[in-house]
Amino acid sequence: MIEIHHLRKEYGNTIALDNLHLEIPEGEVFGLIGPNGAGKTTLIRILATLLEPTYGQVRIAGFDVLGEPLKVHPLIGYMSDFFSLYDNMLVWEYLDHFARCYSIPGRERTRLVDEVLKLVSLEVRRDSEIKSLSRGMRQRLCFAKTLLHQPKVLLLDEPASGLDPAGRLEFRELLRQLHSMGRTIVISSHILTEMKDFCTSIGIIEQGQLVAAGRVEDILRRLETGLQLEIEVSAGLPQLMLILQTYEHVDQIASQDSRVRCRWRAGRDALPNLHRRLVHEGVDVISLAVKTDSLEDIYMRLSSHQTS
Amino acid sequence: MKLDFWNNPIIVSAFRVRYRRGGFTSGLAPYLIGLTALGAGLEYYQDKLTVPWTSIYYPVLMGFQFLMSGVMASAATAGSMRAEVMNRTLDFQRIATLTPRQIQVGKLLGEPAIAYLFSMSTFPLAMWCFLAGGVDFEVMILMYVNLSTTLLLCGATGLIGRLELPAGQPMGLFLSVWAIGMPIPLFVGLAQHSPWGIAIPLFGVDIPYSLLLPPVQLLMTFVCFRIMERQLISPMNPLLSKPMTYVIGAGMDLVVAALIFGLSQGALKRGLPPAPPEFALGIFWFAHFIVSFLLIMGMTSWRQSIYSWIWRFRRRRPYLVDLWLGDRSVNILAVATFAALGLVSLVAFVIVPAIWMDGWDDVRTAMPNMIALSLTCTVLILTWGTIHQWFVLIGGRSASPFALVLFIVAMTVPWLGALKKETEWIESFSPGVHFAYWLGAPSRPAFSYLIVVGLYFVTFLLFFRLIRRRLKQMEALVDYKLRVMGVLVAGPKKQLQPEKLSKNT
Repeated sequence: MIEIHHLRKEYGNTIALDNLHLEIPEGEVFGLIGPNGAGKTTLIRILATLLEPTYGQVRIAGFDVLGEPLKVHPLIGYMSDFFSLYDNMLVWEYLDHFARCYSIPGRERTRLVDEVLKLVSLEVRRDSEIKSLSRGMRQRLCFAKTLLHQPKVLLLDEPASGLDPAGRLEFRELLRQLHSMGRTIVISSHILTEMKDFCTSIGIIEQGQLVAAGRVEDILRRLETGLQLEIEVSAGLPQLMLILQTYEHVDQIASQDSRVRCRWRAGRDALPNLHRRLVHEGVDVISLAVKTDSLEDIYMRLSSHQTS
Repeated sequence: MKLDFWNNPIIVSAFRVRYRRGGFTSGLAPYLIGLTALGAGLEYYQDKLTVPWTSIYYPVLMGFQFLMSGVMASAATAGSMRAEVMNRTLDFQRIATLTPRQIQVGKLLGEPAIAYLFSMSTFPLAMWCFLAGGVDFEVMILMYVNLSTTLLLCGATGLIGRLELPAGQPMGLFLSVWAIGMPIPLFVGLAQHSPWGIAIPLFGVDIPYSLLLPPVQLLMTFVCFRIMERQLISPMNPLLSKPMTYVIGAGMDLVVAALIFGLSQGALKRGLPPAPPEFALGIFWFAHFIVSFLLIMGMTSWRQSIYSWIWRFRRRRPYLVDLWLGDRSVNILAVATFAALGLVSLVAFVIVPAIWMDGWDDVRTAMPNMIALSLTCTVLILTWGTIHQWFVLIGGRSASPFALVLFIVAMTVPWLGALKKETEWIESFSPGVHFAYWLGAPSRPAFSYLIVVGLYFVTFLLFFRLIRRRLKQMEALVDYKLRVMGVLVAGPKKQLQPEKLSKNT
């Protein structure tokens, strides 16, 4: 659905994006992760045809965003981290205005306006002036505008930054619905825990370069990170530490109180043997838990936290 | 252009919001009441006036209308664009299915809606004047035609004020004031009770100002509109495209030639001696030179846009075609075109009509001055166009005003000095002194114009070389980066790997 080749964007002497290559298949929820100034917003604005790249080819659904922007526009919905609405309009007027901007015909316009208002739970504020809305409501209204013309690709730049916890939950649910409807979503966010819940693939961007991209499991496999083990014991902690040190495929061993954490690279199948040995050598095991790496772990491993 | 502006969402929303908030009536009612009261007052005191009350009332009514609606139209579009850009709401419209042209039409017709309504609402009062015998029907209609084109131009100049230029707002303000001031001769005609009397002689035909103004204003509106449309497509585009500047340049040459011809014929009709050919030639070339320089400023691409041309657009079409017509290429060939255009226009619009009217003799007599003027102006256009290109190539867009200041200083300061006769020897290096001589100043410059031409030609060659050198450096840098990116094959210079450089990269 989205193809990016040799993408480069320079602002004076700063290289915001450096020879970026990326392909995002249809129906994917792609999370863009990176520190401030890494180039996420630049990439999303180029995809939205709002920013001209220095060089490169960007295609959405086969249309070139530079050469055929008017063919790309009906396909995309864009929401930025910072936005303003027309404060002197009513909620329905605002949506009607953009429905007209997307050339949606009369009857369908009214139906779609009501539909998206319901989707973002703003139907009770249909006739309110926009300036009377709270920040969260404005965010939802802006999101409703983004969905109005039923775009195939959603480009969301820090879309949940102004929402309260309940709003974030709703928003997450909404994204899940849109994903199930087959929409392709590109979303940038700092809140990695949220991204984990709905992103099917991620891209870690740093200093304008894509450090890693793909499905979370694939990245984990490529990184060969192994499993995180957490063993809690009631007695035999020194013994446990000695045992773990005898294994070649165990590293990053750290103990705290009665718990030991380590990275186990021998696979799940070898774990029962470890358990048996611990019991056999007199370690009183309370629990042995396996944890998979989170997005934060992946990000921390791959990122050097530098801006462009 | 599809003229379905009634379906334009920006216009619909502008009207809808204003109607709901009562903006149409809240300002309009007191305004109309005030104007009606003024008319009623003047009619009441008719016996104390020496002229019919309508002859005072109608110009005042229209004057108010031109001024108020003009200011409102200009301020409304400028304010709206400012708010859209500052709040980033324009982004959402740019990525909708509206074309930049539709956005512009929406801004131009929707935002100043109250200004248009104000002007329409006074029509019954103007009819009152007509029925009372204060104004001819055709004059009244023509004034409203002029009013509507003035409002469109004011709205368009308001849009210009939001350009991302170092002097975007002052330029917009200047153009708005100029647009509002353009109808002043109409009121001079009304005040003299001779609305058709104010006329512009073009090729010997006196065209009433009231008939000439609307098409001129519409053309200017179109140019402003195109400038802003190009900026909406990409702020990296120069204000004017090269083909458009060629057309405007040729059009201006035609108008200047027509004016010169018309003024000479007018003098003959009044029994006065016509202006000497040197004077007419001097005016023509001077106008061509100034207009060319301003147009070159408008179409010259600056450092960032040339850089983007090197990255993305060069080698897409033949190099010379790109230099001549390409949006972001350097202006070298375009500057040469303006120099050549002056010569072509001189022959087509000045020499041929002169031969047709008066035969060969006058033209033959003026030949030495004609050659001197043509040579000087051609070299001046080449030099100043190249200097301007170098300034913006090095300093970016913000260096453009510096080039303009340098141009004004170099052209006027020595000239003003020459008029005071202080340093004759140095002043002879100034083109201004030679222009003054060609335009009829009595004293001959100390040196031949050829010294000025030589000096400027050397300057042109110097800046031309500097631009070429800088361009080669930039191209080498970009080629190096392309090689690092794996787009260009490492190897002989400028060799591309075609399959990797697709059409739209």
